[in-house]
Amino acid sequence: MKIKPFLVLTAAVGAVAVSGATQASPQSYPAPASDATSWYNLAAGEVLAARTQSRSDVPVKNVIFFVGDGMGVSTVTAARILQGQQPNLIGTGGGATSSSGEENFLSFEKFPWLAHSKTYSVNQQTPDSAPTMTAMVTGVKSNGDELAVDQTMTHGSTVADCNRTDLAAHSLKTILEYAELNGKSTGLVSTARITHATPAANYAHTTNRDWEADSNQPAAGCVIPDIARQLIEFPYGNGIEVAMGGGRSYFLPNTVTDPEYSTKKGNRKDGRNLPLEWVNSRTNGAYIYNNDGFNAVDPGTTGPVLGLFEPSHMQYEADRDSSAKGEPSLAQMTDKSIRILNKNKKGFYLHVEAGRIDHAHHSGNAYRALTDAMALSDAVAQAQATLKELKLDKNTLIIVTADHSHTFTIAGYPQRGNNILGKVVAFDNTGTLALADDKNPYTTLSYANGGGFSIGAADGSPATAGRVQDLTSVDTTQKEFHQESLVPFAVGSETHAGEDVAIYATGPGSHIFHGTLDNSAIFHVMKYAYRFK
Amino acid sequence: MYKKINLIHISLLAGLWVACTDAGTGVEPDLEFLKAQTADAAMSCQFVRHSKDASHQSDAAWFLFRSSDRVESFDEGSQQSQIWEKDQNGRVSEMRVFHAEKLVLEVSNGDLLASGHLPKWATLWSIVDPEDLSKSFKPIGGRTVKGVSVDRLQGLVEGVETTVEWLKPQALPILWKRTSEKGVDEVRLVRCSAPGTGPVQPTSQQQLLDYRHIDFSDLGDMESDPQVQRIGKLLGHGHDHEEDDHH
Repeated sequence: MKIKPFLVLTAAVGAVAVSGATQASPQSYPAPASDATSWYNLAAGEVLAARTQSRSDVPVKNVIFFVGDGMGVSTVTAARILQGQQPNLIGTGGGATSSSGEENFLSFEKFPWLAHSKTYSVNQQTPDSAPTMTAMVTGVKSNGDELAVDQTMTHGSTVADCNRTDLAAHSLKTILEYAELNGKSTGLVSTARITHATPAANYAHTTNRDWEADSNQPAAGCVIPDIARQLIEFPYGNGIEVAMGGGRSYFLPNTVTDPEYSTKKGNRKDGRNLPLEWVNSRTNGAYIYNNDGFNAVDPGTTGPVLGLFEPSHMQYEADRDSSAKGEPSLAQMTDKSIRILNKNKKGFYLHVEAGRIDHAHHSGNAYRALTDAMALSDAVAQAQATLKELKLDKNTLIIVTADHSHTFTIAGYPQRGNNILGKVVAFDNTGTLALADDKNPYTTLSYANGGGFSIGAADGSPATAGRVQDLTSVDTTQKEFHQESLVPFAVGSETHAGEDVAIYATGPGSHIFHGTLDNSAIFHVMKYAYRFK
Repeated sequence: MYKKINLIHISLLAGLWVACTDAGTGVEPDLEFLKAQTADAAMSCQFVRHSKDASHQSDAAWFLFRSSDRVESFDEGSQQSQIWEKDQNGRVSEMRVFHAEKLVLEVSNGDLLASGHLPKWATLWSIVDPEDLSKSFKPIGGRTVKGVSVDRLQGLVEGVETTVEWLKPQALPILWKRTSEKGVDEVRLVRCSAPGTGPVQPTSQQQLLDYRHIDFSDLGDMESDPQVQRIGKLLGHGHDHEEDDHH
C-alpha cells in the first residue's frame, strides 16, 4: 500500500463532508403526444423550411462570434435534452414546462445554416484551444499552445523564447484587428479568464498561451509582452472597447489584495496595475468587478469597459451568485456589450465565449458542462433579442461553434424522456434499470477518459476510473456527480476529443457555411461578410 | 524555506509508540502547550503518521498550522502542503503546494464545489469535524494523558474502522487510527506550540510569490506541460489504488 499524500486530511474530509446532493430529479420526463401524422408533419415542415430558406449576401455591419469551449456535438445534444427536461434548471426557463427533451432545440440550433468544422492543428490531431481559435480568427492553422502566430514559431518556454524579436514578422492578423483597422468597435466576453486562449487569440500574439501575466513568463521584462499587457496595450484602431470575463489577478500586482477575496492578491510581479491603466488611458474608461459595477454601466455614456469578475475563471452558471456582489451571466454580458459597441455607427465585432463548458468536462462533471452550454444558448437568444430591439438583426452575422470536442458520450439505449443525467432505463416499458454485463446499472452520459466516477461531497470519495460501484442507489443527477470514465487520468484531466464540431450561423453571409470545412474557414467567412480587404 | 526536522527521531518515536501501544502503554504526546488553549486557538502542531500493511511500513512527519483564516497541512515525506484559506465571506479555497516543484495548484471555491470536495472549515481546523464526531462516532470511554482528559471514540469512515482520541476543549485529535484487514494507518500528535515556534514553519508569502501558480481548471489544457505531468502523478486517481494494492 503506497502512501498517498494528503490521505489524512482526505480521510477526515471524507468522514464529515456535507452532502452536496440536491433533490433527485425524475427518472424520466413525459413526451408530448404524437402519432404517425404528427411525426410526418414535423419532418415535412422542416424540409419545407429548408427549401424556402432565404439567403442574404449583403455586407454585414456587425459580427458576433460565439464559441462554446469544448462544446462538441454530444454536448449540444445532451444540453438540448437537459434544457427540454429541466427548462428552469439555471433559472432562465421562465417557468416553461418539462418535456421529454429530445424534441427541444437550443437557440442556435434553429439557425438555418450549418457546417462541420475540422479542428486539427498543424501539429495536433486533437487540438487545444490556442491553435483552434487562432485558425478561426486568423484563417490560418498553427501549432498547439500558441496564439495568433504562424507555424514556423516554436513553442515558447525559455528565456530566449520570450525574448524573441521576430514575433511581429510571424504574427497573424486577427478578425478583431481587421475590425479595429476598419473603424469598428470590438469586444470580448468570456466566462473564462479574458487572457485565456480562446478570447486571447483575438488580440494577443505569443508563442505560449500560458504567458497570461508576467509572472507566468520565464523571466522578468520579456520582449514578448504577457497576454494581459497585450490586451491593455492593444495597438490597433482605438483599442478594444469591451473586455468582460475572469482573470482579475493577472491584471493586478502581487502587492494588491483582491477586491472580493481577502486572502488573494494579484499575480503580477512588474508592479503594474492594469485596470488602473485601462481607466486612466481611456476617455470615460470603466473598470468593474461585480454586479454592482456591471449594473452601473450606462452603455450610452460609459467609455471602454474592462470587467474582471473573478481572480481566475468566472463561476460556473450552476454556482453563479447573481446578487449585487455576484457576477453577471453570459447573456447579461452579451446584451450589455452589444449596447456599448452599438454606439459606433460603423458597427462592431464581438466575440463571446462560454469558456467553462470545457472545464467542467475536464473535471468529468456533465451537470456543469451542460448547464454552461444552456447558458450559452441563453446568451445567443439574448443577442438575437437585443439585435432585433436595436434593429441590427438584418445586418449582423451570428456564428456559434466550438473550438474542439470532449470525450463525452451519450450511450446505451435509454427510453425516450430518460433523465439525461440519470441511469439508463431500457425502452421495454418495464421501468427497470438496464444492466451492463457486470450486472450493475450505468449512466447515459460518460467519458472515454478522465478522473472518473465520484459522487462528490456526498461521501468525499476520490474520483476513480472504470466501473467502481453499484449505481443503483446513487443519485447521478445531482450537481456534484462525476460520470464514469474508461481510461484513467488525473482528476481534472479528461481530454479534448478530435471529432468535428458544428458551426451554426444566421444572418448575411451565413449561407456560406455548409459541408465540411476547416475551422480556419470561419475567419474567411467573417472577412467576406464584412467585405474587409 | 522549511527547517528540516530529524526524520530519524520521528520514525523511531513512531516505531516505539506502535510497539508500546501493542503492549498497552505508549509514548504520549506533549500536551503542555495545549492544556491552556481553547478550540479557536491558533497553533502549530506536529504529528507522526504511521502506515503499515503486510509488506510495507512507513513513518512520516506531518504538520498542521492553523490561524484564524488559514489552515495548512504539510507532509514532510512528499514535501507537499495543502493550504486552505477562508475569505471575508466564508468562501474556502485551496492551494496545493508542491515544494520540490516550486509549484502551487490553486483550487478555487467554485472548483471545490464542482469537484464535490468543498470541506467544512471545522474539518480542516480540527482534522475531524467535532459535530460529525459526536454524531457518527460512538464513545468508547476515555483516558487521562499527562493529566489531560481525552475522549476515545470509534466509528466507520468509508467502511473502515476508525478510532479517534479527542481533546474536546482544544478541538483536536491526539490520535486518528484506521484499522482494516489491509493494515493500519494512523496519525498521532507529538506536540503543539504557539504559531511560529515549531520545528517547521508554514509556507511563507514569499515562497508562494516565488512559486509558479496553476489553476486547477487549467490542468486539462496543460497535458504537455512537464510540471503538470509530474504533479498529475501525485494527484492520483482510482487506478493508483489498484496499483498500490498490488505493488
